[in-house]
Amino acid sequence: MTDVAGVPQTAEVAERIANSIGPAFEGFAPVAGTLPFDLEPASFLLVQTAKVST
Amino acid sequence: MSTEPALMSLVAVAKAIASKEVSSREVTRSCLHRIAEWQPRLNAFMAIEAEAALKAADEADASLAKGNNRGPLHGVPLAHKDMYYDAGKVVTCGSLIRRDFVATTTSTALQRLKDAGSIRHGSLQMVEFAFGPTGHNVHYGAVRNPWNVDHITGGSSSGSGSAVAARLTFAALGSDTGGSIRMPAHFCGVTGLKTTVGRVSRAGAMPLSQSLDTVGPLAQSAEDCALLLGLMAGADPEDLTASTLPVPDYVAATKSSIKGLRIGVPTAFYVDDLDAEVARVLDETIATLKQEGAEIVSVELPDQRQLQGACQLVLAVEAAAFHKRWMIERPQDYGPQVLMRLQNGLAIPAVSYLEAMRWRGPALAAYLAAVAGTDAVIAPVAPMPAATIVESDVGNSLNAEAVIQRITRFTRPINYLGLPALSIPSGFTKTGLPVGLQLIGRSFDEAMLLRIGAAFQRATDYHQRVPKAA
Repeated sequence: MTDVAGVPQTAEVAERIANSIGPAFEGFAPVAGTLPFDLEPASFLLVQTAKVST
Repeated sequence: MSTEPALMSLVAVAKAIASKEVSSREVTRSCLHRIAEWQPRLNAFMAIEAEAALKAADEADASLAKGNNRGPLHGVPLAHKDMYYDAGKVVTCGSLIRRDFVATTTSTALQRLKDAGSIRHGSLQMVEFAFGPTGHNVHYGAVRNPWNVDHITGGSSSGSGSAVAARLTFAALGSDTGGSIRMPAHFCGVTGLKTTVGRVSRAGAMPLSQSLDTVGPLAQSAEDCALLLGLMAGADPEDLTASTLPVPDYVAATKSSIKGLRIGVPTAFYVDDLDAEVARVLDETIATLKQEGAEIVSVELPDQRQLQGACQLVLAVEAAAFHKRWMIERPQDYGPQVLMRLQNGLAIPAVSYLEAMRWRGPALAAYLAAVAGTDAVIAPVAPMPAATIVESDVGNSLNAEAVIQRITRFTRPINYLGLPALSIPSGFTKTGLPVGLQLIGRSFDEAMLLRIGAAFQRATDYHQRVPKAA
């Protein structure tokens, strides 16, 4: 993967990266592959600026 | 004036200079005196510019004598995290790679504070390229916590937290991409405001992650932060991601009572695995807020671990993309820990990154739905007070990665959602280390957080306590 990114790394570094970033993938796993096809591209900005009354 | 000028709050000293109760020179000399006393122990400053600061102070005094007040910060000496470009000045970004980089422009946030009359008395230390949560810096040394110099300040705005706590500057700009304002504020016992993504222009501020970076102040009090935010916030032709939404009167907001406001307490995640003293401070703070008239309600938030994971994916990829050229050309000039963090981004597929970005809107909508009916949520900034420098040094402690994972878990979800959060000094441990809590608000509702923070600070004195020189 790091080769594809254009910054090749040794096997040792690759293993360390896998261990380090692994928890982030695990945390995101329940969401990955669940998003709808036609999600509004600017949905974050739309939600962020929506008027909300408490 | 009986009080040592450097001990005054930003709002108080600005008023005192404007009314000629004290001169800018006296104030600046007072700060420089404290810096001379504390800097050898704290390593909070990257550069100290005593001569230039006194010259600028004299000019400010002369200008005021002629009836020319430049603005609400006239003659107030400030120093900032060394990542805000200031034309003609070296801006190291805490790195070896930019050790000799001279900025040719001035960042919008900094320029707006200068336009309000502030003067510069130096620049503040930081974690290399703002990519680390503890305050270690392999090139320039760790910054130390003024409450106990064996302990970390938190990062990446390490110098900002340390210098404000020791009263070496009245306030300081920090930046918060994964908790870099709130953690130093919590560990050092100062007030720190992470702003909504887009509230303050990022033009001329060193980038780390374009989706997550935010600019904000660390200062003694919520009122001080309100003054600074009001000066910095708003649209900027140099940064079209800066929001065009109107800028409210934040200082006015700090005067209001919190009677009748509803403050949410999460039922999980932010209350799990807390050190006993952090749990005690959370309980005491809730009691104080109740006493001040707020209604406390439980809130069940969506799974925050997912937000934390998404934040890490986005941050790692965007940071690696910013640094790719130097990672190829100058890998030996990075500290090993920062290089390792940057390398993480190389291993994340584009699809995963884009999925994490696409989820941001729905995730924010789900969070806002969960907190509907509340005005803010209160939570610890971290489950523990400041660790020691030794136990959190990744190069020297086997346990360090675990410590680092633990201290960042409560801040990253908020960065992913782009929400504002105010860290307020809320108590102390039995050994004298500060504990801060974060008030988390709705997008662009910093005014509500500053209102609650100021009310809490009228009822308590944690923000006014000053560490003693050993």
